[in-house]
Amino acid sequence: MAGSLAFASAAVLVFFRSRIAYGIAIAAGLLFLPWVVETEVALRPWNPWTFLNYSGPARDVTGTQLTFMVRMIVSVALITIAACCGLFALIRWK
Amino acid sequence: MSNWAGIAVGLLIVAVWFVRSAWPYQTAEIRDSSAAKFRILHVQKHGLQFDETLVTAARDTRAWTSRTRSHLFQYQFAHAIRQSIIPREDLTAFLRSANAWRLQIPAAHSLWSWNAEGWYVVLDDQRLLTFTTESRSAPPPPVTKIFNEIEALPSDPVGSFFLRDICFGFCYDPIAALGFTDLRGRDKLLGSKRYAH
Repeated sequence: MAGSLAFASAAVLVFFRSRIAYGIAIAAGLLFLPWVVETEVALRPWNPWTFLNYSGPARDVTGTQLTFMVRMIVSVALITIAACCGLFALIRWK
Repeated sequence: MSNWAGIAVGLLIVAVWFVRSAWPYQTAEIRDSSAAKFRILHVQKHGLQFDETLVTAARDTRAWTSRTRSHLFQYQFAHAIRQSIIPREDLTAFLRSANAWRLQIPAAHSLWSWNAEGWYVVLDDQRLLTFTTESRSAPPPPVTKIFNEIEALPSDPVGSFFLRDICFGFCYDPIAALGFTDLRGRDKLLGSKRYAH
């Protein structure tokens, strides 16, 4: 929740206080890191990618789980890209 | 410019996460742990296409034949399974001959030549034997004999399923095709702790 709010505020602030917005974007990315690690650990020995290998009748994996995994992968990709963009923009700004 | 660098580094991090997570092939499924007496996988590779036939035999003489046709760069492929009963004397004769094999076997690997053929045999879910045209090795005659016999037996359809590979066919390998789609079973078969979590 805190990470989401941080990203939202960074998205607004980038038009007025870009340096602060880049810093908040990096912090927001770091705030999401424990969630990603916790989810990966909770899924062991599987991981979000292996859920997309699911085959056969829907017995062990439900559609909700598959949707969650797809959303997790997409969100991790977007968070990583946003945090990296913030980091590089901050480096360039300095 | 800095945005493109950020996107590139972000995608690189996701790519590393993908490779570390998706390889080797495994599925998020709870598999039936009943052990097979033997499994024989016959793979024929024609360009980007793989034709795989897996024969699995249980101690109680039940046998399953599954056929899969997959392509590289394909996410989902069909998989049909049939069940038959092997004559007990054939099963016993094969196991007796298999116990006498003393072979120097190369490590199991996927076929990479444009056209290639491979035979993969697993005995008691423990001993893996590999014979491929790439390693210029041929299976012992009892392997092809029992394989052809089981294929020719009258059989009942069990069902049609599908397999998925998030690596588009590049992670799905003979070990996975033999039914070892969990890391623990794979490690046990290969005698390795490499993938153990």
